Amino acid sequence: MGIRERGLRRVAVVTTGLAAASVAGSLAVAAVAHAGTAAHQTVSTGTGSGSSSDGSGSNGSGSNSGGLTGDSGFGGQVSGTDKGPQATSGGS
Amino acid sequence: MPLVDTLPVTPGVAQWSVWSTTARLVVTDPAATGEASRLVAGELAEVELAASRFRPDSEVMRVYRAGGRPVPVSPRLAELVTTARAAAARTGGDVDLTVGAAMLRLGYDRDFSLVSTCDSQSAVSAPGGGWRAVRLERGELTVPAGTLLDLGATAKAWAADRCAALVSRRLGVGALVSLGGDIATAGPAPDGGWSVLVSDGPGEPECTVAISAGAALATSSTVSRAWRHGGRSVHHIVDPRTGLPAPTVWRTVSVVADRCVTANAASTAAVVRGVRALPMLLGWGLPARLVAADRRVVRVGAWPPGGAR
Repeated sequence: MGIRERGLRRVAVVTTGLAAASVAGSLAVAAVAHAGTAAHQTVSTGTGSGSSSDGSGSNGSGSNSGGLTGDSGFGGQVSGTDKGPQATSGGS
Repeated sequence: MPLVDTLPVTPGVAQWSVWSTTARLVVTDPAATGEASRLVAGELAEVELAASRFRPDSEVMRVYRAGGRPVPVSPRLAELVTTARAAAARTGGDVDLTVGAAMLRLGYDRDFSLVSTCDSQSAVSAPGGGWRAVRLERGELTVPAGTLLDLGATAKAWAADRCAALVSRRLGVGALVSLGGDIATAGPAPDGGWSVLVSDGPGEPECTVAISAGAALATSSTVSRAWRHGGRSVHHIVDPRTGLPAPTVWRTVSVVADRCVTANAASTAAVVRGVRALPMLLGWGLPARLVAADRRVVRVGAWPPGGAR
């Protein structure tokens, strides 16, 4: 095998490697994206959401939201606590 | 005695009466309490002047007296109306800003501390449902003649959101603002979050939860703010389709969201919807706690277990 052939073979190996890495990367990105979508669907459709039944029409979001947040779920946290209350909700 | 009055007023806490209920302010830096109280009180005064049904000099009453003609309104009232319209749209009309006349006919025509002492005339339905006819264009508000706006359901929550954000931004502290149990927070929270006792009073199921920085919590009740009218007990959450108080499927509904106006719209709509509240709350993806007429507690979404008794 001549120097030229060995060079061409190395180029082919490197190219194949890069192509494989690219495909693997794309698949990984796609897998993550799919997992995210599935999780979102579990939350938003698995619990019976629906803009028509909720009445959450176009006025409920965008420039007409009036400060109301959308129906993408609550981004914060609520948990039980043993701390003494700083405020009350209800009974007023 | 309001439940909140059983809590101590410690350094970093201020509490006073407003709008027939109690305002409670908690800040993470006690040194900021005085200035924070002034900011909140000033903002609440402005909201009252814009939206009160009980002040003849309010903008809402000026719009009512205009008899269907467009009226220039302040940016504050414009924002309140925009928020109330958004709540109506989001809830399919369950939270309707045009139920003012229904409230009047039910006897809620003055400060609640006065309403609750008398048994007024018989209940005559005065349906709302007219929120789509409320127009706000180029700073001018138009409502149909004879329609009285009632912004109570959303204005209190809007004010809580605004006050918490104002205090945190101006003073650089974490802030919790509670207006009759409509709670908004802004800025950093204490370690473990803001702790809130959720209950409608003595003998009612209760639990204590922690909400994270920036979260909000609202409770709507068919038990509180109830009075005698026409020989029977009525409460302040009106079904716009009938103009009468919503049937008591739920004693209280509490909802956590990232804005108090969102939490309040959801909790109020849940009371109006009755048994149909659960799919709505699940669909909105908001943690919620509902106390049924027989005091059974229903938790929705991420509302934490335990604490009910």
